[in-house]
Amino acid sequence: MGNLALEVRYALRERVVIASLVLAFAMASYAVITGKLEVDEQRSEISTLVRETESDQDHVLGQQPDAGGAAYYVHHVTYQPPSALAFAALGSRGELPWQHRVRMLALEGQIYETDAGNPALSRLGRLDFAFLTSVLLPLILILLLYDLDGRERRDGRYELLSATSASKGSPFFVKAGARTLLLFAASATPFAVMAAFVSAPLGPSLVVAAVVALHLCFWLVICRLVAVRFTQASSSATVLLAGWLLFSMAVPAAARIVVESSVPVPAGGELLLAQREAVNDAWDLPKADTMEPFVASHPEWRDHAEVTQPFEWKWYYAFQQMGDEFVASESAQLRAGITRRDNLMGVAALLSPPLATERWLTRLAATDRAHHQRYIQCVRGFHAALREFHYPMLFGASEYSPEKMAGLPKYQPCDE
Amino acid sequence: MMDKAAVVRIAREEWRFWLRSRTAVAAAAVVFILVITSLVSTAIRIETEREARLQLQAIAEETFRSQPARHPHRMIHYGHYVFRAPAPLATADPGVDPYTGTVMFLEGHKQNSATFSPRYTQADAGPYAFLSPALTYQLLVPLLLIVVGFACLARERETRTDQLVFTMAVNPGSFWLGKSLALAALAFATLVPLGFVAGNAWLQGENGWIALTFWLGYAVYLLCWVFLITACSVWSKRASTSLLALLACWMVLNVLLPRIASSAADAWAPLAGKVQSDLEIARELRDVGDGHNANDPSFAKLRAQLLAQYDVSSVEELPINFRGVVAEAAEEELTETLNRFADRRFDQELAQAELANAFSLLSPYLALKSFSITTASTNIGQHHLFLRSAEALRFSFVQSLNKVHAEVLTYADDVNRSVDQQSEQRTRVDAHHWRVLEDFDWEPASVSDRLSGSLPFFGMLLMWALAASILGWIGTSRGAWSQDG
Repeated sequence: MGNLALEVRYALRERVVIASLVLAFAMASYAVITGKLEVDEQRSEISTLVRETESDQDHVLGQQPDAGGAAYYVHHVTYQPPSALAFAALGSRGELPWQHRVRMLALEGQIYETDAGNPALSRLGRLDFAFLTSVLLPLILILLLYDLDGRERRDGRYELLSATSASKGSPFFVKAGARTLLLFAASATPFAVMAAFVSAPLGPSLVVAAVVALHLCFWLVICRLVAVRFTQASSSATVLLAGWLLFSMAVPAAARIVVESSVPVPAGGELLLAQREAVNDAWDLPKADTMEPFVASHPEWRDHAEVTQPFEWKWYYAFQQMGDEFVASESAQLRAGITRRDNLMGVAALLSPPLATERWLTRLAATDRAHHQRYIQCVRGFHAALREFHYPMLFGASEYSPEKMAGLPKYQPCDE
Repeated sequence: MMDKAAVVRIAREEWRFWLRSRTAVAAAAVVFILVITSLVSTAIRIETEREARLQLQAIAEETFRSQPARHPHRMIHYGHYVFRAPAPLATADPGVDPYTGTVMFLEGHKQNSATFSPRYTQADAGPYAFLSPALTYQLLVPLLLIVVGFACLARERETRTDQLVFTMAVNPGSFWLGKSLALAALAFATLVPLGFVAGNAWLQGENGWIALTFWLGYAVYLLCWVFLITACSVWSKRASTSLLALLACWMVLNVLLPRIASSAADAWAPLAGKVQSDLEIARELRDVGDGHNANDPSFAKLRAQLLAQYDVSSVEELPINFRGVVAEAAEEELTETLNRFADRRFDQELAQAELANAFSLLSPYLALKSFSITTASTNIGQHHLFLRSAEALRFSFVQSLNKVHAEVLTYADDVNRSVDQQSEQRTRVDAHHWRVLEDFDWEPASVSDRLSGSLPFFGMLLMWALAASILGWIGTSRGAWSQDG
């Protein structure tokens, strides 16, 4: 340990080391601060949405004379609040919708609506803590370590150093370890401060720090392996860069192509077209064509399913639901396909530590695909609850009254 | 004095040196393989998507036009789908394509969002899982140039071979120029595949000047790197210092700054979400009146106007269907509001993009990225153009149907259709009316817009190339050589 402390002191005397540490610290601070600003922005947006939706609902409900109108005109807002650690890994929140405005119509026509960030910025990506640790820190570490042996060789101190070293292993391993440790401290400190500031849960925060440390350890080992094998500094730099390219770009890109071609998903456009036909065809078909299959899958409404007028609300909502059920299997295939792709990508990430790091961090921050899927499920659950609430009044099993609408389900984010 | 023959000779000797170096050859081979792979895989992906989307577009149009007789307002809610086909040069630079929705539902009273962006169904494969040809040229080719060229001058100084060259009446300026020429030749060699892509886009109907400018932009960008590399090599005493400086440059300019730019733009000029705008719209529309309800007090003025115009005393006596007139008027007023909010969103997105673009001054990588998507017409402006064209189509078919509603149906039937089967049958208008739907074709931005839009970024790239070359030139007299004495 004494050796390590000594090496840390030596390292801190070098300009390159100081510059790298300052850069890493500055970037990490920038990343967590802009991440926090973004999360704050999203939280305030959610509270605005909830407030505005309530006032909108109050306004709309006051005007509705019947159950059908109340169900038709009232909109609800659903959302996925950012987790406490979201500031560290914004993940899919810029690209996939985390808020929806839904109503009692067929859900398949609404759930794919996309309220996402600015594509012009998504294209550039964000500098969040996850990007910093998965992509940039390895690069900085490579710059710090590639020349460690080469320089001593060039200056003619290599043999002397190796011969006089007190430790059993290579003196360079301790040297490299000291630099890695410093880099870890410089980048993890801003994260730790921000995590404490937003009172993020301790356990997951520690796991984040551990993931970062593990990732740096991986690159420390790679750097040492290469440095021992290639005596020339420039060759070792080239090889390390190639390694960085391989792990950060080539493996993920190749894995993505393999995963996507082996797990096909239904085309979204086709699903939407099919869903619309199913819903709209009902207008031109005899009412029985809608109501019979409807009571077959929802026998609880058998006694209330008779339709006599050219237009009745219960028939209207029945064919909305039948439209959803018509594409239910494609929709389920789509979700299963997305989940399967992501799971396979998780396996492929074993071959790419940078990707594994990024995926771990987004998972801990609840901003990964799996959490997005869970949010979508949550919206589906809420929509089902809406149907359950409205159907008795629509089918005439109970009388509509404005007072009853006080019991209208309110969206609650599902527990993570 | 510049000795042309000497410059060429130096360049040729540098190439000979590289061809003997295993690292250089291996690095070049790897980058070439990556470039070709990304070219082929992106072309296949974009072409498959283009075909699929065009096919779905044709199906959607055919389906709409072949609907049976119906109440015209039903068709407004039946709606229509439009699909966004990628621009020809998207095979070289997909730009915002992966992040923007590909299909959009058009219906009355509402502007929906474009859904199913390619990202929707993709697994999380990290930030660099899409190696588009553009990205390989922007990110990887400079890295190849660095690895091959970082030592081109510093190496000669370390081994003192430079003095040998200088004794042969070659001055440091020619020496530097020769090395730059060698590296530039390598850069142009890497640009050959991109030339094929640009040429292919031209054959596919892209404007020839656009294709050429696109390629030229990448050439100037790589020239920036050539001069940055030789300048660094001139100023550095040791090859290892040069490598360290260049890699740090590459990391800051190509990996770090773009992301700082986007985070900064987002923090400085936040964007109002679509759901939030929809709620604001709903609040504002409370005063517009519901177009489904002809008795809505908001339409009292319209009613009085029509009654006076046709000199009748009740809406029942009007020769046109009052409900249809109301629907048309309401849609127009509503669309005005919707467009105002849509414009606000476009403005906000453009403002953010411009803030991020401002960082182009600091990074040739960012300048090229903006140049590339503007020329290829895969930028955010192009996406807005798609959204605007879709909105124009929506408004046109909705209003045409509202006109049918007003002129073909009778008010009495329209009022009674929910309770009377015969009225309901009479309100179903003939299917030939569905032919009002126009084909959806939206064009890329005009050639002059694309060229003039990309000009500032092209200028920035030229400035960078010029600045780097001046830096290198000064280095030949004031850099490490002058310190050697």
